[in-house]
Amino acid sequence: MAGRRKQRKQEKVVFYDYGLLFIILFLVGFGLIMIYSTSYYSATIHKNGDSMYYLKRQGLLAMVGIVAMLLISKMDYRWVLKPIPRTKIPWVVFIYLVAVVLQTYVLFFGIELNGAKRWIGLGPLGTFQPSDLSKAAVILMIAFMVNQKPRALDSLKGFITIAIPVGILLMLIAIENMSTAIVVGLILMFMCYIASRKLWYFLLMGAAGGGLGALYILLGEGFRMERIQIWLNVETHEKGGQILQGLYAIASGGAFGKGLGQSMQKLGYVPEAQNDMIFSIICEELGMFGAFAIMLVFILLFWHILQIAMNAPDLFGGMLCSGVLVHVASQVLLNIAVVTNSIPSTGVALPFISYGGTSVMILLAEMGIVLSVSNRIR
Amino acid sequence: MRQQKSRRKKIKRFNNVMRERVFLVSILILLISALLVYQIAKIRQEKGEKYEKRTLSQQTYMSAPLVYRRGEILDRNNTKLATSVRVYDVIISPKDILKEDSYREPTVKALVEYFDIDGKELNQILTDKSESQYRKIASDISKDKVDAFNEMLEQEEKRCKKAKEKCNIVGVWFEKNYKRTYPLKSLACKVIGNANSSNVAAFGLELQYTDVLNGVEGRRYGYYDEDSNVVTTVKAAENGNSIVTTLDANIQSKVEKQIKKFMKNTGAKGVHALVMNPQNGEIYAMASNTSFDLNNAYDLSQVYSKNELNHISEEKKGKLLSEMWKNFCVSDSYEPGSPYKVLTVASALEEGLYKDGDTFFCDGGELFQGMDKPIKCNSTGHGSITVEQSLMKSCNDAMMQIARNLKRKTFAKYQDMFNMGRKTGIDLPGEIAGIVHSEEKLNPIELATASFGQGGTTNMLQIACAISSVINGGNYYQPHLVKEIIDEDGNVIEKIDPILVRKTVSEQTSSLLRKYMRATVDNGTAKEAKIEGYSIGGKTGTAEKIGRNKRDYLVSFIGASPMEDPEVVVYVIVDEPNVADQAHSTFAQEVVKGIMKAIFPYLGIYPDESVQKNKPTATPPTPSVDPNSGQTVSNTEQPVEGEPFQSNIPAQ
Repeated sequence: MAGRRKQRKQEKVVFYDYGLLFIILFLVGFGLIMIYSTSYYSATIHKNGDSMYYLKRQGLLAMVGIVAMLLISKMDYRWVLKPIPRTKIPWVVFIYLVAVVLQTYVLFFGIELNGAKRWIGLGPLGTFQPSDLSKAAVILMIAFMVNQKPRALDSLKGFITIAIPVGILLMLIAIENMSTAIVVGLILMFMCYIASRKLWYFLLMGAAGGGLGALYILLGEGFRMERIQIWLNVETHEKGGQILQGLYAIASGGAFGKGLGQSMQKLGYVPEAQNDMIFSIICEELGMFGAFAIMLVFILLFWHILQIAMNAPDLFGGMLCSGVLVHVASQVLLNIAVVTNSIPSTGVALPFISYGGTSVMILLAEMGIVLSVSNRIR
Repeated sequence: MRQQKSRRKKIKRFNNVMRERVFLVSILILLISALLVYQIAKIRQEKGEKYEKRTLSQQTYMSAPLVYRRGEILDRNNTKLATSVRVYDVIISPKDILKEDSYREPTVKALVEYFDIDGKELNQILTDKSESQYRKIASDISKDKVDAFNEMLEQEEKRCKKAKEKCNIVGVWFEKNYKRTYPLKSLACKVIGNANSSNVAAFGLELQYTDVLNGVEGRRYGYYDEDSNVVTTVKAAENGNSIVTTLDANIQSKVEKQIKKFMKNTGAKGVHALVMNPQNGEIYAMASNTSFDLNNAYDLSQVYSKNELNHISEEKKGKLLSEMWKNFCVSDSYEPGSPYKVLTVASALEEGLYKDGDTFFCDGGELFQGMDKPIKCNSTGHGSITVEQSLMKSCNDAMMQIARNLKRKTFAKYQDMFNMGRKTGIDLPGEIAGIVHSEEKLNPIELATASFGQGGTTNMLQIACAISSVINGGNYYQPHLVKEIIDEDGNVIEKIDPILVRKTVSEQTSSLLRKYMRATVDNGTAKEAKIEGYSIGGKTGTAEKIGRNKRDYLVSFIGASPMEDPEVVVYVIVDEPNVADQAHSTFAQEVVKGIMKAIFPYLGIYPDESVQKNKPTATPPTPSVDPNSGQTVSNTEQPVEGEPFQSNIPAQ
């Protein structure tokens, strides 16, 4: 390994992971096609006959995100470690503070949709979901703190110093958005596991997280308990409709699907099919073959991120890539697990594919960071 | 680690332990992915069929199609030729009917009483499908019956309310549907065509214009909202557009009557008639001797005998069906024979090869190299005859001379100009253009026979349209059957104007041919077609059929009137008349004469010749009543009513 690195250094070849870039662009493009396919019916009915309503919005934000990704990928990711001019606060801490402020703001002044206050209104620009930003902020923050004191995580004290700031943000998110809290929790858990030499903390944290989660469900709002009931009796539970309709879609797709645009289930049966349930429509229209192909593309994406993390030029870059990997992978796996009723229902978007402008922009920005790390590999 | 640290103090490394851990995390991701793949495959494997059925079954109450009304087919006076009437399907919910023991019996009794449903079958359905909530038990039920049932139900509910009982008739409702019906039954059956209750057309105008006539199906959607309640939205159906045809139900029925009369008196293998307006290509009527009720368009017994239908295969049945539906006027080709001479003479005059008054010498036939017998004209020969007389006497020899002098190139040019060998482009499916010799193949013998309409084939419409152009001043119009497309409220969406395809001959040639054809009827071979007082022109045809020794003939006559400026062309062919000596065009002339007599007053064509007896030969028009429907066929568009009929007879 060392020899190879040396060789690279001698040749001074600047690496840039075009393969990863291609996979990202493919996923975003595929996502736009699927968003159009799944949403044109409901858009026609609910958006004054504008069948491209969702496609246009997502397309515009994806374009902005891609431009941002390319810009970030050409910058040195280490600039976030530098302090803001004339202060001592590094940029990464600033981003974290912004996330905390927005996350607090949304609790009081957020827009309530479908019974949850998760969005900040931006007037004509639409809405902004701060929890997406928070996920990125957590990754940056953990990577930053690990980079500050690489050995800190080997002690309980060090672990707590990292867990506290992340925990604050996690709590703020968990009040309104259980699913994002789970993702953030997974990011924290696995990033610490990667950085720490002591497996013990990892197991402890897993147990603590699981216990807290169980308490949250039992003592929290009633609907969470109900979701478990639905999960166990999806065919008979009276509120099993949404998940059951998704399962109908998966089952009726067959091996090669009904063909793009041919889904029957998106015609009102699977509600908001362009959002979290989009994978069920992919199964219905493109069949098991299409679904497995998309999963394969995601695995290729993970492979590329893993490669970059393993060859990262420094600790900060490696931790960033690991964090992004855990983030994207946990969302992909949670989403598919929910759609297939493998776990109780929770609203997680399928990265790059589900409708959601903030989500796709933040994800593309994170990919920009990964590409930037790849660009430093010599 | 320590080594690295001491070497490069500033750069903190993503060390090997970390690499290992990331790799392990990735392995975990891969494992979970594999589990999910397994889960998807399992859903498909275990629940696939069950869930697939459910997605289909929920369509019936979650997403029901809303039917549209297929547009109508109207004749030129807005008489309905094809229409869709509202009918109802009777739907029951066995689950609701079986909810209480007291429901079943009265509900079944009411259904049996009002809708003629077999009680045994109904009870069987209730037993077998006791869990079903949607079951169609009868269709095509008229509105009257449904209204009667609903009224009874209302009374019953009132009575029950008074008596404080529960109403025992439950779980029955009706869904709207449409049924395609043809009010005039067999009238113009081969032209109108048929569409079934699913709005799929089989032939005729129904097939040609099926996309225009069909509307857009609507849908009632149900979907789950946040609280898993079913919410429904409705996308209304769009009804189809109607077509106004150039057909005239009055003329059509008169033509069909004349054909029937001929079939009764003389009989033939086939009789086919075509009536059109030579000035714009509009078709008034197309009819054949076989007809069938369009409301039972699949019932072969209307045309074929029981013996013919006994023990026949499905394949054969399909063949017989398409044979029964076939519109001879456009979908069959034959050797036209002598009417083609009109076109030959017109070409000669147009080319300036001959002029009015030129003479031929007919010696009874012409012998060609390589043939042992001459192509005959008649036994004695016509001697010296003028161009006019060559048509009047239908002289083959003169035609052969014309064709020889025109040469193959010019003959082919006119053949092409008169649209021979090419479809007319009428708006009907299944037109067959026939085959004529191309320029290269018009060798002397082919050229000679082609001059009098033998050796090549055409359909009836091709001959009628070509001769129309010769007598209307030289304008070849594309024949058509539809003149307007209107929406369900009667607003005109598209007006279809006559299409002038090309100029064929000059007005000068046209007027000469009108004169010749008139002479043919007045003093030539077509005297039988003459109606006293009317200027009628025409040309007979007596074509030997292929298989020349059988003595089978296809006799024809094409006539037009009035000859100053023709308003109508009637073309009739009689295929193998039921007589020993078939070779007489009088059979066709007789039918044409009958048709003309019947339709002239209706079309507003009046006697225009001075007659000896100052008495009209036709009766003034009265709105006729179709015997089949009892519906008055109006004739509002014709300038007949209100015009003093007698005043049109020239005073003498």
